[in-house]
Amino acid sequence: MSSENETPDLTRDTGLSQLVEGTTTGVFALCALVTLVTTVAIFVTLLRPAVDFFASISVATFLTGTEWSPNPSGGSLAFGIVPLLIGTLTVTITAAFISLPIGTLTAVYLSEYASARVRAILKPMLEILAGVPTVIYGYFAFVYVTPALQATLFPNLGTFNALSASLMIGIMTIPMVSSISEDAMNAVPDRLRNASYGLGATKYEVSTSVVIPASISGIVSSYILAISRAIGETMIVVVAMGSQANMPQVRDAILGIPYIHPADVLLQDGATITVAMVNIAVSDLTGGTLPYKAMFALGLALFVITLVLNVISDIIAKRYREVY
Amino acid sequence: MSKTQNSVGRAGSALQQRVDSFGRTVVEMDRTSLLFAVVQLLLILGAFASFLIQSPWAMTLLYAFLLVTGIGWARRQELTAKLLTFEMTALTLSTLGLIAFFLFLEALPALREMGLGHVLSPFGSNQWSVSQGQFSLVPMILGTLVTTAVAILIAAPFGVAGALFISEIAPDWLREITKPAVELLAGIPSIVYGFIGFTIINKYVSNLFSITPGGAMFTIGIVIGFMALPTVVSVAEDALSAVPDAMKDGSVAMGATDWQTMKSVSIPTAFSGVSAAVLLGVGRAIGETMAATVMISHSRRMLEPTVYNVFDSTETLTTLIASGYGTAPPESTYMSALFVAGVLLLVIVTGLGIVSQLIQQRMQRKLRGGQ
Repeated sequence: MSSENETPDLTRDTGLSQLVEGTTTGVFALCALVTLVTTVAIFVTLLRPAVDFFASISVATFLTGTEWSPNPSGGSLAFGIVPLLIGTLTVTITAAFISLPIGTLTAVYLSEYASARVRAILKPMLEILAGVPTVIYGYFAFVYVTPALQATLFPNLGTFNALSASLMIGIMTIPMVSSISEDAMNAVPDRLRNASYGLGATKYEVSTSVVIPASISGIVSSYILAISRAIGETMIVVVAMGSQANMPQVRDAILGIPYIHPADVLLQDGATITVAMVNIAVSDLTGGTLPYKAMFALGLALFVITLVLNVISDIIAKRYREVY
Repeated sequence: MSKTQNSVGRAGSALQQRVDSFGRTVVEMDRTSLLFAVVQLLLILGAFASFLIQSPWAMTLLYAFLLVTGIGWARRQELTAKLLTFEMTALTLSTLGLIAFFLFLEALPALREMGLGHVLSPFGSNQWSVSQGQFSLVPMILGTLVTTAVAILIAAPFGVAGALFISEIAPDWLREITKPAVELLAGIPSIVYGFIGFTIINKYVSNLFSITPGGAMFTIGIVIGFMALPTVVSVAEDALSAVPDAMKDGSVAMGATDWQTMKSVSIPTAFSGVSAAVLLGVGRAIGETMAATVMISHSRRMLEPTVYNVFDSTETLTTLIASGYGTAPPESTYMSALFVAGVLLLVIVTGLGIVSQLIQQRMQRKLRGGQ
């Protein structure tokens, strides 16, 4: 009867199996940490030369200067990020005007109106086309969209201009918005929809007052992803918008508040932060010079922007997440 | 035989049903709605078409469309909402389809002049020389293959193992740190990767292996591998967490350890999803332009001394387009050859995308059936 109190050993914990368990866990942990370490390493790599850069050019000059001419081959130097920021902002906002509404409407169609079969065909098509190399979009903008815009809407549009580049970036990011938003809308349980129909709501009312509010955190995440993609896009901008950092003319409004007319930016060529980095990188520069370090400062600016957008997206996703 | 006939017959009757139901919808609409729907569709179609043929009517038609939509919104909100969402979907897809069509169109002259064999066959001259009018894409295809192979050797093992750790092993607090890091890594613009590779990794690798610093394919592959890493991690992680908990719990209840559960339950079940993740990573690596452009030597030749020498440098399909479009004269064979490279990229990336979609769909079907 004494054996009743002893629990039999069912785990077969030999030294070898424990070793295998521990090793596999450790190896997988290491692999996951690679991503973490890479992120930190990128930040540190950017930070050191950027700090050097800010020792010779003050942060205030960098953030408020209105002229950007890094001239890696020699000549006058000016490191003001404002024209680049204006370029990036213009492109991002214009692209968002295209991708967010069209992407959302597409998502509503796919999730609420389309039959299961239609959705099974259309959605993969959209996702595949999101993977088309961006240099192709850029070329399309340069060869087709700019001449078409010149012929139809803006006769005085430059050969390189922000408008056609932004339009193409907008189109490129539509699949991102529609696909992720559709996932979120699809996750809304049918009982919510049915309850709403039961109350006599029409399909449109169900979409706008039940499905969209319930999936808002996913929709906003898709918006932020599309926006950060637009900020980071380089190839389309290089091909269709040019690479000259121009400061647009600042006009005085009636109330005395200076402003920049959107047409001054959209119809002209310009540069974004990413393009300015490309320009320095592809020129024959030597390490340690000021333009070289400026590249790191720009990279740091982009990193910070990406980080901030990610944090915002996380906060929104947590704040509005609905769990069913 | 009869099976095929049956399925053809089913497909036919399904089509018939769809046409019938569409017909019923049309007949059931009152005349104003019908007129309105037709006018709206025609106007947006007209605006799109006249923009493409660069007719000055495009804007007038667009304004008319907006006006009709506005009126429709006030009078027939339900119908307008449905039409509008449908039109936007169709518009997006047709724009993307048009881009593909335009690529093929522009690539035709080069193919007609040089012949598909000369451009793609590895047994020809394998030469890209603008002055001699030789436009063989073989060196660039080789370059793309080599960089992609190196990249996937990094992204696949690290990515899949990372995904396993995040979805199966990691304690919550560690997952809370790692997942945002992956997302951040995915969000960093490719130019940042490119110039870090160009300024730091390039120098390091050329010192390490005593090679001339000129953007060895090996270095570019490493950088692209890290760029493709987040894609692999997040898609593979989705696949792994789609494995029903019941299956894992069952395995653990049988006395299996974490590793045994992963090895014999999670990985086999999610295998197709994980391979789709790797394929998407390959697609990302092939399509990457910017990081490679700033690092690569742009010498358009075969790798030497052997074709698989990863420490030599050549050109990839994407960097060829990126560096060539500015110097190529319009309407020339050179320009058209760049478009052939574009078509090739589109076909490869789309092919990979389709295959990975099919794999993912199959996995979902299997999981649903298995429950």
